Amino acid sequence: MPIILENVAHLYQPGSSYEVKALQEINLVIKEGEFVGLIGHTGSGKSTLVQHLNGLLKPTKGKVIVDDCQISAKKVNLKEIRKKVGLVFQYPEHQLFEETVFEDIAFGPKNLGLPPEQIEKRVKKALEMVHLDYEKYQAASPFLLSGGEKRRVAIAGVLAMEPKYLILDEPTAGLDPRGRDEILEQIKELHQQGMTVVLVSHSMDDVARLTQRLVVMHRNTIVFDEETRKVFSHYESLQEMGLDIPTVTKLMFRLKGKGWLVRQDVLTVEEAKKEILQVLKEARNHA
Amino acid sequence: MIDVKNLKHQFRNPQGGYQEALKGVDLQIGQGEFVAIIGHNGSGKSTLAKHFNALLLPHHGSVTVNGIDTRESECLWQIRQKVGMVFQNPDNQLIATTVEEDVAFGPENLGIEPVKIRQLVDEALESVGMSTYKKRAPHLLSGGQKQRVAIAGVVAMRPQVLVLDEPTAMLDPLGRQEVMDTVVKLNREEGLTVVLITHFMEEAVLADRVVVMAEGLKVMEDSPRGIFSRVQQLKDLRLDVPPMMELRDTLAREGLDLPRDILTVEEMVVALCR
Ligand SMILES: Nc1ncnc2c1ncn2[C@@H]1O[C@H](COP(=O)(O)OP(=O)(O)OP(=O)(O)O)[C@@H](O)[C@H]1O
Ligand SMILES: Nc1ncnc2c1ncn2[C@@H]1O[C@H](COP(=O)(O)OP(=O)(O)O)[C@@H](O)[C@H]1O
Ligand SMILES: [Mg+2]
Ligand SMILES: [Mg+2]
Repeated sequence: MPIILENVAHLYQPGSSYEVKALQEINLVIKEGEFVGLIGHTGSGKSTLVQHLNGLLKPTKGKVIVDDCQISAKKVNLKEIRKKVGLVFQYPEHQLFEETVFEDIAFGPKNLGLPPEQIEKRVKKALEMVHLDYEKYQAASPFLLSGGEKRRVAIAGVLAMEPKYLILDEPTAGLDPRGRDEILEQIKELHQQGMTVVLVSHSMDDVARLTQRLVVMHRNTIVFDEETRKVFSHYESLQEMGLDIPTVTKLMFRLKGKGWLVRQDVLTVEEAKKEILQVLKEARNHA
Repeated sequence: MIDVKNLKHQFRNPQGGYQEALKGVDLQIGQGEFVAIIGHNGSGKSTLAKHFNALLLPHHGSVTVNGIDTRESECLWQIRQKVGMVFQNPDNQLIATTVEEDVAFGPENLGIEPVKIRQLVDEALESVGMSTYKKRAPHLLSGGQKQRVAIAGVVAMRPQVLVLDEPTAMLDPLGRQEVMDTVVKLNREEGLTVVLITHFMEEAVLADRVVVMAEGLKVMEDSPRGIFSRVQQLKDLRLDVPPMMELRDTLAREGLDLPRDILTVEEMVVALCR
């Protein structure tokens, strides 16, 4: 069953002179098993939107429905929803609060009422998934870790809940390049095992590589919701919105401008290589 | 300018032992240079940077700024004024209710007279391109704008060195571009010495020199072209190469004859269209 947002609007401090319209007319369906990317420049409403998916924020207008349960309704058991929908916040330091890394990651599983052996197992597995050594880190204080280590612990805390829907708001900010790849690989694997994933990201290279469908937000509403490859063909509109396209896609646009007969909907280094070799081969055959 | 000699620093770990975050680092940063520091998570970059303005003090070895040892406690404010720091999270750094008050905060703390502060604040905001926002509330700015205000807050103290610890990690591409343009301008046009810690290889490429940290040690130091042409070695160090360098590498393996040091889309276009 899907997550459905129906005509959702969100106002911060409604009615006051500080009122901010953060979302308007959001219609979105996230089907089970999808891997959806969400992009848009700062302030376009991405973080506000994803916080509606687990009931952290309630819509000012419209409905949010998770697996048939309207979570925007008054008397809804949000605890049940949070079990299903795991959210990794944009600022992980806000998500850490326990004395040790172990306690921090165990917090969610404990709330699920799991027995201690199960909890330990989950903590170990989650730390492994984010590539932190259990023995080295389990007793450490999360507040004294380096930026990238904190980020990993925050992600592990959500993974340990084994949610059905995994929502990640800029999960790779501050990770070293290999760490970024490792964690994204891990998320890809979880998706292949059946988890539904929503990834908010500023990295066009990452969303290009991972997602099948891409949602683009601009001025607090959705402007594109299409197959990822198609979205990046709107190069000019994206640039006007202050967004970029993947580096290799940009190269293809530039080569096309130089008269090369290349496809422009190329998303990865591997695809770009194929295109370039193909064109060079044809040129050689003509000569 | 900054001279780091055999610097070691350790933190107590929960098992009661010690964890060596810096294991003997030597580094010189000259006046007017732009140095980028890259390295895996936990490699000691932030720990190193915090030694540049005496937020941390050496456990072994030494750090001097313009010849002044950072352990001389009576020189602490002089050092902090010379070496300014900007951090990752734009929201944690701005405190005042207007942009200009925020930028004035540093000079006020240095006890500078009000007329002079006015001038310093105006010049600093001008240098980061934020003059028209001076009466605005900082929390209503975009991430890139917030970071530029944070940089102005440091610039207003007339430092000689600007140390930036992942200033663009939380920003969108536009915000990152704004901040990097500002940093490059301050270095090239105003002669400010810049130390930039980053996980974005395309930012490190803009520096004069790149320092690579791993496991608490400096493991490479060279020009960006020198560093990023060592594709395999970088990957072994958990680092990355810019996408165009990677494409160059895979094309070269298919037998294409391309220059070794292609970094940007433009350079790739030129090389392919020869
Ligand atoms: N105050 C502290 N107490 C204990 N350990 C610390 C403290 N600060 C840093 N460390 C540890 O020292 C090591 C180096 O940390 P540092 O913050 O310098 O890394 P970094 O290179 O900046 O990493 P990142 O890329 O994740 O920001 C890490 O293993 C970290 O956990
Ligand atoms: N807690 C809040 N109070 C008031 N306004 C907010 C709050 N959080 C976000 N906003 C505003 O809502 C809009 C959307 O913000 P956000 O959802 O954080 O965007 P994004 O994640 O795309 O950067 C922006 O105008 C932002 O300033
Ligand atoms: Mg956000
Ligand atoms: Mg750091």
